[in-house]
Amino acid sequence: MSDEIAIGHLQKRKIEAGVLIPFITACREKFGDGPTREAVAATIRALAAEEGAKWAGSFGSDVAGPRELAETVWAGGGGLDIQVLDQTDDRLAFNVTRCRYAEFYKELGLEDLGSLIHCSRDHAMVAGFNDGIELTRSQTIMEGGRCCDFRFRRKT
Amino acid sequence: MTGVLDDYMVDPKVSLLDKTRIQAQVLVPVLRALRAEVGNDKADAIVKQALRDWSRQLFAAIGDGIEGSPRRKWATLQSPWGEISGREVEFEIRRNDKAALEIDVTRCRFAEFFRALGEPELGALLICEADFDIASAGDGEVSLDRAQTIMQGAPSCTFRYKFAPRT
Repeated sequence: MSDEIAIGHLQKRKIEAGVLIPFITACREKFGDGPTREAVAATIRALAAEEGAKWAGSFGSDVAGPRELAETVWAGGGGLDIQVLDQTDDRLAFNVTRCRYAEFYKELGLEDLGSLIHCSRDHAMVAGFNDGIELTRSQTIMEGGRCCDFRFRRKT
Repeated sequence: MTGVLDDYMVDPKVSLLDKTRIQAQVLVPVLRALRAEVGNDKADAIVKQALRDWSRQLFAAIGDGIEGSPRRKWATLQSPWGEISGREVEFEIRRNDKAALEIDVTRCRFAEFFRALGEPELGALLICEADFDIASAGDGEVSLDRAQTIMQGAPSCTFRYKFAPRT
């Protein structure tokens, strides 16, 4: 199941969402939002951590890594507009100012599922990438924010 | 060029087999987590209903957007579908005339992938059932009967399409 398929990140997430959305919607109808959210979020976090570990191999696992990852993979295929604000050996700050992933979910009226399926990956991904790096993010476009404020710092 | 299936395919450079593998890579772990939580039968029933509804609605919506008779809707859908799915299978055409189209698929990479994964029922939901949803676009003028599939463990898939006489 680990074979790589050459495809843009945005396109890949759209294909995944095609089947995840009906599945999660059916689970919510059956079990309610809370239990579904827990089961789905836990699995997605595990998948994201695996993906983070794999990306660390390609992008290095220091603080500069997430920038290259965001610029080449996440923004690849036009997925994101990114504005880098600050980068040192110990910290990295960038804002996502346009997010086509959020636009995709918003068009469907499913921003809450977008947060669950898409945005919730990032913290687990960073833990898999390098658990010596910490990500904080106070807002996302998916949740209605003007930007997503990604702040990475090396843990002391 | 897949025409009416462009939105369904998302990225025209990605094969239907790779698209289905991407779906399985994310769906299988979520499904397995749900099975662990609520039991296999309940989890499988939910995924079955969710994916059947999804596939039916998806192809019905594409069919609704195609002008013309049911037969024409079916042909317009089946042509690109046959092209993109046909690349992943080996098949023999046993009959092809005004009244019927009979195809035996003798090798199927979708089935090989999902059977190796131990999830043939998920494979049937993601791929095999689409043939019936596409046949539904030809409602009243096209019918499909398929007694067996490789996905289910049979040696071949026996597609038997029948066409109503043109009036």
